[in-house]
Amino acid sequence: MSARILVVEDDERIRTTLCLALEDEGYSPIGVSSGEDAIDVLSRRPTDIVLVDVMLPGIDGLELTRRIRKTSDVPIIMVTARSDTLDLVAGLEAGADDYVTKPFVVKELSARIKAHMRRAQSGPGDPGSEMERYQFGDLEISPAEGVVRLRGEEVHLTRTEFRLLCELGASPGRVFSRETLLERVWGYDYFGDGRLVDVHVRRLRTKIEPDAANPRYVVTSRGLGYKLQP
Amino acid sequence: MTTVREDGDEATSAAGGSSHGPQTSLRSPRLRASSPSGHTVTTLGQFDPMARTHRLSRRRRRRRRSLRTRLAVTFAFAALGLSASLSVVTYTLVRTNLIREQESSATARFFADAQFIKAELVDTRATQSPAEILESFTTPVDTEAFLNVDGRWQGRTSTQQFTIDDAPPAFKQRVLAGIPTLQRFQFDDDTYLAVGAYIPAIDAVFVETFQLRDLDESLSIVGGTLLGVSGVITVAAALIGLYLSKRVVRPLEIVATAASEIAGGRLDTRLDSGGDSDLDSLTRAFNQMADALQARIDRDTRFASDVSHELRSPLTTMRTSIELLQGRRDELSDRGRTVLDLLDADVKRFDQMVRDLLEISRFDAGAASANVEEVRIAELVLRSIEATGEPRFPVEIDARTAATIVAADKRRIERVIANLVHNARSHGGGVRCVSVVPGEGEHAGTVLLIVDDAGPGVPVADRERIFDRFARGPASRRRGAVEGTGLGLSIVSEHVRLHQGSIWVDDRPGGGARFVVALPILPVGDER
Repeated sequence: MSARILVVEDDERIRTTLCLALEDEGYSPIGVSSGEDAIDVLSRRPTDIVLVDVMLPGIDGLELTRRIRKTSDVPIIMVTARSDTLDLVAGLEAGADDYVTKPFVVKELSARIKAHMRRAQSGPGDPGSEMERYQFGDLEISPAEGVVRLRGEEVHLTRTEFRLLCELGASPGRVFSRETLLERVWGYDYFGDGRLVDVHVRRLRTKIEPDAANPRYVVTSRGLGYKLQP
Repeated sequence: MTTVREDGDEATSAAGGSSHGPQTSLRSPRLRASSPSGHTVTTLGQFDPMARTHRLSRRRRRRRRSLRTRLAVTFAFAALGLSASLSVVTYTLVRTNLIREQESSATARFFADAQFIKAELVDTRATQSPAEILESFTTPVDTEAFLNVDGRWQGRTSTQQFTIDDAPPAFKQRVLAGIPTLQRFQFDDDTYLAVGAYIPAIDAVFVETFQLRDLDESLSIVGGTLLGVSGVITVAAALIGLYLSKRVVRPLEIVATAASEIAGGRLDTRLDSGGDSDLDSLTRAFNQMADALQARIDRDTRFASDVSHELRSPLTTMRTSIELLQGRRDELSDRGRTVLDLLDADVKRFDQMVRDLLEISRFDAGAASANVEEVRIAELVLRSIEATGEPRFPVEIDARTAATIVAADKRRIERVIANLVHNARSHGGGVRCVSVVPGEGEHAGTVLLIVDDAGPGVPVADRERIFDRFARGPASRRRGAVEGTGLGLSIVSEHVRLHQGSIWVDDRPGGGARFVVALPILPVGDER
């Protein structure tokens, strides 16, 4: 079954060509022009991935991302005309999983979509994670169930956050460089944006750490990357 | 039609109304502002920084000494003139008074003495000669007395420091002629006063001379004092002038500092008058200028950035549409495919231009910040070359740099490598070699990324200019073969600067250009 993609883009020409191109790539895109319509479509139809333009009239892309995140862990790819640090980090912190910069190449966008789809499909019951569950102090990761528990209580993570935690948890104590994590979690090559990792780690910490400023589990190894403290 | 007067309209009609067409251009304030007379006519809303600079520098050249020196010298001269004329007046008054006083006392003394001589001579003519009377006549040390009896001068013999022969002949003549005379004269560097008169009762001429030593001493003391006071006043005035000028110039220095700070890129520099009402207008004008300048620069950079952003949307549509068409190549005719490829290539170039412009506008706005990570430079260079898609040249990594770590923004260094490689391909006959070596000598502590090309090299005169925006080498005239945006090397140098590195171009030994990028090496971390 082809992936159902929701394209939220107010520029009609971009929306039309993008939907056509995505169809050519074998996806089933639906284009909407506003955040309000996007929320409406999401509530009525199953959606595998959302492309959100940051600059939208009415509810802007950041706000839309925040609203979607309240109810759904669907992968969100932010489409931005600005790659400035602040805009980007704001979007990622709002809950986006990834981003592409205008003007993008559809092949690149398609590669991003594929990477997130692959992870979405292999999320629970990931064949790569043979172990049933990992336990670190109060933190319990169960890749097979696709669940993370803190003191027995389920923590709600997005798929990307979950995948990131699983990568770190599969080799506790090992330091993962940003490049490694970008490749394994996002499917990026060497030139992936390290800020993706940084912001996701930050988001992850606010959800699983007792004190996000002094992390107990996901620890920074200065200049090298991140590791999960066993 | 070279002179442009302030009343531009008249000048226009007078100078060339009949023969020259574009009269309207003469009326434009720009032309007026840069008139050869150097007279700047600044029109509201028209800011011509070039004309401004021109004018200021010209004025500076005309000026020889600094304002402060001039003020101090002016003060000193004014004080000197004033004190000197006061001194002269004082000296003259004192001198006149002193002389008058001495003369009147000398005259009184003379008449008293004359009375005495007359009485003595009349009484004792039989027993005493005039010389003896003069001898017995006690006078103060500085006084000499002479008698002319029967045409013969007689003086005292005791003191003898001064004889009647030393008196001025004119004086003697007048006295002998019977005219009572009072005259000052110089003898042996001393001033003397001679008083003489004919005494009819004894038929003799009596002369007395007084040495005015007191007068000379008093006058020299007065003169010396006045000279000293004048000197002190002059020096004091110069110092006061210097001090005042320092205070006057201080705001100028503050303005100059602020102006150079603005020129240095700190556009938010403003002045504070510190409540001084005299400086209010200066600071207000300066701050208004700075505001206007900042607003204008902001507007320009924002404009470039906005334009680039606005172009991104249509570009996205274009690129996506071209990709759609590329997916349907088979449905197109041969001609259609050729056109599609042309379109594709130029849209890509356009895309790159927009990205470059946006990048530049970020540098201009000071909004560029490096997304720095600690990376192995050798790996980054290899990956970057790989990403350029043309690894058909040797890459040499010095073994000493294999593990060298730099703080780098991978994306930016990737652009640096890509642009240098691209530049070598477009202007330098292709890349000959890329190497990574440790910096030595003055470049110790850096790692050098070297891109050698097979071209003719860069002339020494162009080695700075080549990093300017839209700087075009001779090769770039071949636009057909070149895909550059004209911003490549300038972006490279901005990227490198953002890394606290440096970039320059040299001759490659054996021919060709050698672009060298020096990046600071991070100290080896203990964790590694």
